Amino acid sequence: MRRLFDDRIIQFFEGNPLYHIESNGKQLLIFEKDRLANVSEYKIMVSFALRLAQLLQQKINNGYVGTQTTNGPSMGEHR
Amino acid sequence: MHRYRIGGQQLLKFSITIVLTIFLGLIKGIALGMFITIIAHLFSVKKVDIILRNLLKTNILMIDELDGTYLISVRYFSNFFNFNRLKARLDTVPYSAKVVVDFSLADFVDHSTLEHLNEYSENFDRNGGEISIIGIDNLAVPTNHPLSPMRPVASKKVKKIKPLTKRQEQLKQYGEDLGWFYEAQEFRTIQGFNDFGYFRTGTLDRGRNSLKGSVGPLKLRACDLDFHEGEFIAKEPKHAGVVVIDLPVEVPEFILDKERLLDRVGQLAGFREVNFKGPPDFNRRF
Repeated sequence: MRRLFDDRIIQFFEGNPLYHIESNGKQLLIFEKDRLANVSEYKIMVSFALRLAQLLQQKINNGYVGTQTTNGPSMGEHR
Repeated sequence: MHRYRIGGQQLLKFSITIVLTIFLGLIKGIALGMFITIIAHLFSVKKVDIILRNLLKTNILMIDELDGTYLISVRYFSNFFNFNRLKARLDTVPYSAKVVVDFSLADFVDHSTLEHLNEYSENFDRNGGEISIIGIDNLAVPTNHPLSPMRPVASKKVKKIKPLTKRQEQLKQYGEDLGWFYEAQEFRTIQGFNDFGYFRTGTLDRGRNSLKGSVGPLKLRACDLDFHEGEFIAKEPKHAGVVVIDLPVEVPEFILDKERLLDRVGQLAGFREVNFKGPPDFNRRF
């Protein structure tokens, strides 16, 4: 946990709106309210997720070692 | 022509009312026109039982979300029978506020409700506020007009390929701006859905309005989810707008959320709170 939540990640969460963020080990779930989001709420949430994803990518590039996931087709690709 | 574009039934009711008014006088013409509208409405919705059973029930709940947004949740249905309840709530909100009208718990929304909301929306826009409508993307429409009534999908007289709602058009445009792929189509299965603690006791009904993109090997998607908790009479429909990030490496399982009183109880049940040395603000917020 502490390896994942380094200073940059913690600073990022401190400086951004509060979201419910959850990990199931292979995916991160981000949402704000217990209802559908309107377009402006989606824009803010997606922008937050993009910046978090960029931070995580940098972390992975810089040697964050976790087990390689074997994700199959992901959300929305099953019908 | 305007009535016809909204729907043939709208034109028919309008024409009958005009003819009756010409031949029987204003009062009788309008009264009969209203009667015909009510009868036609009851039959066209094909959910007469829902209307009659819930006509007198309170179907509007307004919540101040404490971030400058008012949520007005509409249950059962919204049409000219009960629009005054929605109107009464809207009239208590200043035009400079942000209002989200949520129809995700409604089975039917008629065109007069959408027309009135459109007028309210213009007033809010002029005064710096905003009305956004959510929860109608799953309802089918008989015509391509933006104010066309929203019917239950089971109804026969609906378009199989429905036009995108205003919200869906905006999401599609946002996706194009990001260089992401937008798909309005419904999907039924989600990998890892029940692995998230938030959904562990829920059953997914469907998802829709997917926006998909990536950052290097990380895949991101934003989408609407309809799910329910409980079954039969205890069944409670729920909805969420979420973003999911697929990770190329495994990370620890965790929940990061605002610290609440119940979290202390959760710790007694075996959940472990992780505190980090150094950042007091982070430890206080989460």
